Amino acid sequence: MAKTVMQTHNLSKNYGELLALNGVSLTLRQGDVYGLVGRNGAGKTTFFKCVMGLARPTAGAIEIGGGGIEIGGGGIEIGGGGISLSAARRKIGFMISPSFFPYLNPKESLEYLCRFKGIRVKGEIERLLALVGLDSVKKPFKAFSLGMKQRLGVAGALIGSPDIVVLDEPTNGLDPQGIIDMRAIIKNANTQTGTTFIVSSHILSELDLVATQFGFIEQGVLLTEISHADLHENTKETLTVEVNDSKKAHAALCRMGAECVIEDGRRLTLRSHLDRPHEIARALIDSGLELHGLHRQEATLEEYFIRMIGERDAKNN
Amino acid sequence: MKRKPVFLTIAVIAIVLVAIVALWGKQYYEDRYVGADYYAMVPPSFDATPEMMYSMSGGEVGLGKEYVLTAYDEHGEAREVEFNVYVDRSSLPQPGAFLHISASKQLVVRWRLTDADSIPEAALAQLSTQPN
Amino acid sequence: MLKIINSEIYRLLRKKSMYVYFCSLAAGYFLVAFIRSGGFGPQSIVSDAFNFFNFLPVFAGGFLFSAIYTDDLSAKNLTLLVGFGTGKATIVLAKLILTALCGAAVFALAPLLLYVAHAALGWPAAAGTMATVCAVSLKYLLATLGYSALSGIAVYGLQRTTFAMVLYVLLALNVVSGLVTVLLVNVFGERLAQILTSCLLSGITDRILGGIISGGPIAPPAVEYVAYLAIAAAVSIAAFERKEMEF
Repeated sequence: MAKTVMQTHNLSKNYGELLALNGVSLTLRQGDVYGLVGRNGAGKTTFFKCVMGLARPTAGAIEIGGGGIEIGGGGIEIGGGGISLSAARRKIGFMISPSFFPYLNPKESLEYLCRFKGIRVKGEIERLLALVGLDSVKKPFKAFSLGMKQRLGVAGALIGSPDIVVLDEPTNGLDPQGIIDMRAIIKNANTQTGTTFIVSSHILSELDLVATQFGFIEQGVLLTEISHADLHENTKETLTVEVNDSKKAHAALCRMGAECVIEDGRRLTLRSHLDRPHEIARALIDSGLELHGLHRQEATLEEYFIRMIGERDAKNN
Repeated sequence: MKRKPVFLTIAVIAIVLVAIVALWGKQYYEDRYVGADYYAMVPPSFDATPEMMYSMSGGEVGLGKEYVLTAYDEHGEAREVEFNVYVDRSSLPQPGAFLHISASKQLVVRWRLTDADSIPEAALAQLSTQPN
Repeated sequence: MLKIINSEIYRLLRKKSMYVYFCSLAAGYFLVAFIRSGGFGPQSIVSDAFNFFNFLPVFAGGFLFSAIYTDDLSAKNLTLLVGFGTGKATIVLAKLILTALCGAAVFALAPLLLYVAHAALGWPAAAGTMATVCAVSLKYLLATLGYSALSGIAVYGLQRTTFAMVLYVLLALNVVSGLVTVLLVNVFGERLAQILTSCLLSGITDRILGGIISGGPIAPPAVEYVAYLAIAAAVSIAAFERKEMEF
């Protein structure tokens, strides 16, 4: 298993009565493209603010690169692995609402970052500007479109090849081509330099094409962390069977080797034999059952997410 | 395409306007505020009793005195100078007092009391022949 | 800290409006000097120093304060600095040093501008006269730095551009010191108020200038001045630590 590069332990953040983060324990492993998914106001940006030291956690701890740990509540910061959390944060590039000085052009904006971060890699600025497609842009930041601002923000986050890159809603305001380009930028940086990404979005399908790991956040609670493969396992196609007796149908289907689950007294879900509905229908009728319905279903990633929220709400109620 | 000539035209007009304003301003400033040295004496018969002074609009300005004097430059050239002194700002020059006056083309810029020894000869000669 | 100062100087030097602004100020002075040149004398440069440098904390210092402090807020640059793990105390001190450096550059050029203007108009200043002009410039440089340090508290504690800028302008226009003086006179009486107002930033810089020009003691007001900066910086740091970054 890949090394853990960032971890939060029961991270909580209150704004008065509002619990913006509630015991978030998130693990980011080296080489991951971690998709943090949640609706607007779910706590994604607050989480990033806490990680980057822009907001002080109310409780919990943050560990970056095994280097630093910050304990919330008292705001105590203790060293770990030889470096402080502040020093550990220098290994992170981030973009939370891209903003640069309005009078600087893209090259000058990145030069400013290079000087501030003490980066002296020749050709780094030109490389990054080419990567985000702003190499020929000479106009100042104030004249940028939202998409151009996002691109420059990502270039700024990638400068100096940080170990971890935090991107908050990087596809906001991008046109379809821009979204494709953004995914390519993340994928390239991830595969070529091994950069670990944590990317937030409220559009799950966008992250689906790039993320290797997902975390679902809702009302400040991290509902689950799941790998890309497991997520697709949970969202793959199923056959729904509606009969007069689901137990009897379950027995009949198991006899023919089908993988099925009883949903309720009249409904079953099959995860196998998806391409043989006629055989399933015959087996059920041969067993003396009344077949009321047989249809194919595919849960989208969004439906999966909404189902999880529903399950959580049901548990809370 | 046409932006550059328009910009240049505006720039030239602006420079010319600034130059005109500067030259006019300089002339105005010098006429009004740059004074030459003159010397005067308050006539011995002058009544230095303060009286109420009035503004152009007729409002009371305060107690003081209006001085209308013949002043001489260092070459003895004469000109008439006129200024007001208010008692709440300075004491009134008394009859027989010598004054060192800085006067522009339009007004008296400032004045101060002086003594006969500090007055150039030509001016002093004119002042000593001045009638009461 | 050096990296912050280095990067900040880099971006300030690329702020084109800064050149336009300061060139306009210089041109404005040249114009006014040309108009008044008929009345110039050997000491005119000194009276010009007192009359015109008095406005520099507002006009030059105000622009610098905006460029150094409030540009950071509007560009959300503080989030970048903090997110990179830079200590908040480091940021506050770096900004103060940067203000001192930029202010020193502007307030060093101001006497030079006066000298060039007066020399061009036929009244080159003597070395002794220039020393007085430089001392006056130093007084207003110290005032500008002090006002920036005090207004910095609003920058870091409230993270509101407009409020910080208004506070700076009120300080630089001596509105705040005027109000404090009135308050002190009403509370403590004229005599004690006179002593207390001499401890205000404007009073301290006046005493430093007096010390330089007339050879009086400089050390006591200088210590008070440094204490002003130190306290303002400490309060800024504390306010910054308490305040979360705005997005």
